[in-house]
Amino acid sequence: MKKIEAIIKPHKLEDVKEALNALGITGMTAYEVKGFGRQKGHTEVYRGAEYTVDFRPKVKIEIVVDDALAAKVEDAIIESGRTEKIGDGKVFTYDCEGAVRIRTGERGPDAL
Amino acid sequence: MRDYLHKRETLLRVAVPSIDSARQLAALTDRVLADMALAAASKLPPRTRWSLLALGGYGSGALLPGSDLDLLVVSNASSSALRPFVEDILYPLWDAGLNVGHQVRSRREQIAACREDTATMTSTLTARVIAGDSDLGDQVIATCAADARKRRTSVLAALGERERPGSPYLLEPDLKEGAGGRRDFDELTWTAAVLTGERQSDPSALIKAELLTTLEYERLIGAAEIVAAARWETHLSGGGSLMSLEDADALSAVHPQDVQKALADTHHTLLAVRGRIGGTSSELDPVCTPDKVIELCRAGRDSLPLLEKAAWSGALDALVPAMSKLITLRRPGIAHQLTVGAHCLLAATLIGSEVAADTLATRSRSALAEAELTATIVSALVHDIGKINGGIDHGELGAAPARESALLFQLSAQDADLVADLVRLHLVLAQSASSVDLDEEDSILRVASAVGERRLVAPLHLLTIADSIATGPSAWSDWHAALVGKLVTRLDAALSPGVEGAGIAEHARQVRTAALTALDSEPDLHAFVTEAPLRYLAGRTAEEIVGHARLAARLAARNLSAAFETLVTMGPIQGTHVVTIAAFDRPGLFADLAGAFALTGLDILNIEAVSGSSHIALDTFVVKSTTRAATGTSTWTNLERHIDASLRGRLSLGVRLAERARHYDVCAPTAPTSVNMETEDPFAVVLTIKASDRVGLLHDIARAVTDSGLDIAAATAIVRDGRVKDVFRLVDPTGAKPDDPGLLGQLAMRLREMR
Repeated sequence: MKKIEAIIKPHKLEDVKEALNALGITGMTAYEVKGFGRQKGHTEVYRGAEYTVDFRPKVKIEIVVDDALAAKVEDAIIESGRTEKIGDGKVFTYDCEGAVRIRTGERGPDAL
Repeated sequence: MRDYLHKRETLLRVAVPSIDSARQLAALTDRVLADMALAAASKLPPRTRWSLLALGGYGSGALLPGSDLDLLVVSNASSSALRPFVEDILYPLWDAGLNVGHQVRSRREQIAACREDTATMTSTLTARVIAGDSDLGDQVIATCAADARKRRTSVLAALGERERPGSPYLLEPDLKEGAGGRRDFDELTWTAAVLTGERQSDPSALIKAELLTTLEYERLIGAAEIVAAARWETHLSGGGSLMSLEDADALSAVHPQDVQKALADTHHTLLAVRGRIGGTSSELDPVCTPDKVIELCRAGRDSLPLLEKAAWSGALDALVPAMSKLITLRRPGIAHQLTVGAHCLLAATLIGSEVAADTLATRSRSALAEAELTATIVSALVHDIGKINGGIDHGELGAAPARESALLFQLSAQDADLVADLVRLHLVLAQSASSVDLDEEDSILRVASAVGERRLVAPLHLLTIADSIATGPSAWSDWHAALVGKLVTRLDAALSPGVEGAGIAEHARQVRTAALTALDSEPDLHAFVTEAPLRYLAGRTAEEIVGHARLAARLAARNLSAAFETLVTMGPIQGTHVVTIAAFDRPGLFADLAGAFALTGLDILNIEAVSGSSHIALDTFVVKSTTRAATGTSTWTNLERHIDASLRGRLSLGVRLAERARHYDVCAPTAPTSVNMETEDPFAVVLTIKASDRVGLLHDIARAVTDSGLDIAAATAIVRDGRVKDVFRLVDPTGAKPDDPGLLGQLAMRLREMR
């Protein structure tokens, strides 16, 4: 199993969700997060006064999938989350050692 | 016991949720406890006096499915002597899985406990003898009540400080301990017992004490019956006394709306009685004046009890029609915690106070004149008034009644219009902030088109924050504040007089519709029009866009990186031509095209350059011959040859233009070059250059921009009387606004040094 974490732009969440649904993935965890990468902070001007935005709002999603599906999920997130501008985010993939569905006790991929 | 459990199970299964059913369950339980106690009494020593009492809610004669059986055994026997008797009563109850609270005390111990502990006292004030020596039991109750009466000042003060968590206007209220719940009714009963010095089962004795009117009493009893019916159902669903949204949906005997009203009735009646006892009035003046309501809102959350009372009593209806309905109106939505009216009142007090804790909101607030701030507070009071009758888009539905309300607040017609606009648009910022690309100008322009006027941005910002905070903790955080703040900043810029984003978006929409109509028989070209940036659409006619779409389609069909397509038409002035060039966008393209024109002997009088969809750049040049020679077919053939050579990298434009300048440029610059970098636009740095025109100037400027690593997203140029004014929108290679001041400074310096 693989755990896939993706940092995406907030307005892309629905697109990513739909793309993952199309792969048969119906569950994910989403967080409202703030951070920066190469995009860094920036300065905005409002009513004549400058203010600095150090951390940019993003959405972080987490999904655990069977190994066979991991590459497709990565691709789906990349395609659906892309705006071709800086700040589109990143996808991280990790090995996942186990999963248990608490209600039934099912383990491994059956628990996904 | 088995028979009791069977009857109990049957009752819970078939009974209509109601106070009557709760009384039936109490009576059924009384009987089995009495039988058990009488049977167990045989284990007591001779001449033992004992009494079994029901305490608390059970004592007052009603028992809900999940309620504890609060029991008290009063006796003159020792604990050890009582043990077999008590165990014979309690063990079967425990074995049956019932929740039992019990105390075994002597009369003296119980009275002492009542003095020391308010909870023990209050549970005894509504106690009732189930079995045994009724004189003994009644004596304990009467002594407790008489003692409470003697200490009534301190006892009532203690009752008045009882914790009442939450609000009667919570959509998921605690029907027992929460404000407006059963404990509030109980407190009124206890108060009646304390003031009369006698056991009470309801607050009716307060009528005689002139602390409660008959009408209030009847309303209280009705409310208690509704709350009991709802609790019966929440107990059966396993949720105790918390009425979740799911529980509310599943209620069968009472409507959740009636439960909400019952809670409010109980809550405000209790507060009124407390105020009458304490000699302090918690009532707002029966007629709310506009100034007083605004003053309360500006005072912040501390004013909420008064505002809620005014809303519940109907006093606010004179200013906000139907507020007495809104205050208990349930319209559960995602993240909403309060009834519609309570949510509006909270939002209004937040605008008056806490919203300004946000740095950007402080700026929004300081941007408002006093009258506008008042209008914003009024808009918060009425922003969900459109929910009164349900229906889609409550913002739109609420705009007209909101305006009427604003006039009742004696706002000017202009400010009343502002209130209506704010109510109509109050969801736009929150919804757009997380659903559109805030880094894309078109997205901002579309929101700008929806908002329409810059003057609405600051008050909408405040209203959005207040509305979100008042919705619940999951609706507002630093994360949301950052997104909404970014949208507000960019929206404000887009609606500034220099940009007029709303006009751009509206005009672009009209042009797009006309172009699509003209291309009705060419559906393959529709994508070009639908994906074109709003700025591009707004700057052209539908006919021009149709021509561009065909040009771009021809280019796309060739699919060669150095390919280009040209379209030449007559210009607006005699001797001028309009040349539109479609080419695949790449760094330096604009410089190459500008150089090709100069090399062909064409002066550029005007340009409009944009990066369109599918990485295709569309640049429109208005040109005339540099010399007096007429332009003809050979001119355009030469131009295409120069462009082709340039795009293929086979033409050294810099060298060739320098040669041409030596031949044709005889005039020295007549005025210093002016270079201005404007960084307030959120999407691009706007570079404006004013200079004397010369051969290849535009090429040199564009080349300098390209060499600095920046792209030209759009450009316009006008040449008059030998002077040129070029305006470029510069972006970085990712399409974002450049934010390296060093890089921009170097570019500006290079441009200023250019002659």
